[in-house]
Amino acid sequence: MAVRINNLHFCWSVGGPVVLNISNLSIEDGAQVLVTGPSGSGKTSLLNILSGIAVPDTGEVGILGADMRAMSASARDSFRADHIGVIFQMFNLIPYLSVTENVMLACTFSKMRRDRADKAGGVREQANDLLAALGLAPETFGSRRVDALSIGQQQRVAAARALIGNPGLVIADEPTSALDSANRRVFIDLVSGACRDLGATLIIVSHDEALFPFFDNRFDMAQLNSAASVTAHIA
Amino acid sequence: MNLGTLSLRSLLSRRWTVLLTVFSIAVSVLLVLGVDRLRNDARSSFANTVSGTDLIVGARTGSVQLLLYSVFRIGNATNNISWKSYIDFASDRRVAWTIPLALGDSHRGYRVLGTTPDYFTHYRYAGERPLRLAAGVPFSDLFDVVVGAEVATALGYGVGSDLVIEHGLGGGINKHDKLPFSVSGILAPTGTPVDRTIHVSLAALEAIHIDFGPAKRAAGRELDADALRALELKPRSITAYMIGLRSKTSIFSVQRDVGNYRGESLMAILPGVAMHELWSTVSVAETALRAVSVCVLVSAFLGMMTMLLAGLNERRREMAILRAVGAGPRHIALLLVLEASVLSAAGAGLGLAGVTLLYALFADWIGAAYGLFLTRIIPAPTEWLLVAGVVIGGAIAGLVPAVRAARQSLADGLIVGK
Repeated sequence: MAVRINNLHFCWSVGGPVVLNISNLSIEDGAQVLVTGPSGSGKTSLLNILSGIAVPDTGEVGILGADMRAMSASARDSFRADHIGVIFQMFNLIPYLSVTENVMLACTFSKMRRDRADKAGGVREQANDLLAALGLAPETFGSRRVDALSIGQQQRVAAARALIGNPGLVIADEPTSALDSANRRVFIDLVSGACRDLGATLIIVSHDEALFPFFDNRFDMAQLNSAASVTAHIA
Repeated sequence: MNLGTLSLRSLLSRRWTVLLTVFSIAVSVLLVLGVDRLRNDARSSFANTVSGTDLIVGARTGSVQLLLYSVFRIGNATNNISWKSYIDFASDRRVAWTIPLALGDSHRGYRVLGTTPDYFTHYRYAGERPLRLAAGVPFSDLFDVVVGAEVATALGYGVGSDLVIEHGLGGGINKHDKLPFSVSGILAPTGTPVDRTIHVSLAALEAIHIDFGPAKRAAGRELDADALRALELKPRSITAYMIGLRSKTSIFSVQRDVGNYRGESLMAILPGVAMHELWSTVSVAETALRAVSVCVLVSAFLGMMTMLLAGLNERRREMAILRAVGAGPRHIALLLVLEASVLSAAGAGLGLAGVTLLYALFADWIGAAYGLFLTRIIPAPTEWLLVAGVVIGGAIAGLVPAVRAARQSLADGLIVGK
């Protein structure tokens, strides 16, 4: 199982309001899932829990078979470095690194990730392969400054970074909201194709209804998270 | 790609603020090192004012006071010493040479020193340097003077210039104006009080005083220069004298004998010891100067902390990206500490290079112009130690923004500026 969540209760501060209350969420290895929901429905909290930034107060969180609650904060950081690729909504890239260096950055904090990239031909080589697979010819774009790229191109560089070193899980937070519809389609096709090739599970969190047709597996946060629906009623 | 290169690239991307920070650290390091070097050089230049002299003898007074008037021409002797006592010690078996010093008159603000030609052969400064004449010859005629380099430059004297010696320390009322002197030689610059001294023979001082005094002048008993030359004047008293011994081992026995001299109350000082005593009185200023330069260094560190802290807010995105690829708060903190270390190392290196370069460029000129001999060009081991200290200090200063960045990145998680 890529993700197994049971009876999860989560609040940001001790004694604060419960923002996440999920009785059960299971995502199989290799699945491609869209998690939808309006803002305030707990998507951000769920992302933080899936990526190991935050842990719930009660309940079970298993990511790629590992018990996140049993790990220390630094162990979760290492786990994220080893096994999880993250794509943000925008501003994914470090401005003072080149395109290829931004992709290679994901191997900086993980030996496991470096080793897997080496198996795929080397860190730089896999970075360039992934850029090519995502439609950015490395000989043209590799050494460019990231601010010379369009938003759509930047998002694809972010996807390449999420995928380098073959992580088991790729999490994307509203990755297409800054893209126009043509780019959106290309981006989702490329990323889901690349994930499928590498056998990575893909979880996209978005309120963008245009993405619905691309995914058979869809979870609605409003249904998934009982804490959110309670909050919504009060509001 | 590792944290080291990451910190370098990050700094390069902010090169203008980084450059300014590095410069401010460099300037402060240059100041600390420069003050330290100048301090040492000033101390040794000072100690080099007179060398090779084993004892200085004068009327009983404080040792610093004797040093001040005999070597630095500052202040006045309370008492003179008799010519007889001088001869007694000058003819002592243990004594190799002596230089008598008679002070009291001046010329346009510069002290006039009566002495013998031995002065030009035995006087040493800055180690083994003898006095050298830049022009002319030592005094031979009764009315010859040899002027120091500064006197010659400031008053525009050349060989053959005429001058009139004033009685006492100037004011211009009582001039020995009937008896003009003429410059026979000009000394090369030494960077010591010798440069500011006008040297005449002991006999010359006797000559201008024998006929001096309002009463005698009124009586019309005046002798002209030639009459005075014919007199073969003998000095009656002098202010002090320097002694060079045949053997250093007799320093203390001669010093004791001087102290126990029956005819009058005398004292002998070891110039090095008295110099040290004198220098320790000015070491407060030395400490103050050092404290100021350290304060400047601290303020440069504060500037660096400000720069790093101010940058943190706009780097929240960068930190979130690093967190997303698996960096923990300690990596973020380490990144900031590395940046601070790189800034300090660059600043310290630049500062050391700067002080070395300045010394290399200006050592000769400063030596000639101010008599301050800059000895060290190549950085000393202690200076490298200071550079290392600055890097460590910078890393410690970097802990403040580091802790703040780590905390901020913990609070932010992956979601920033949405």
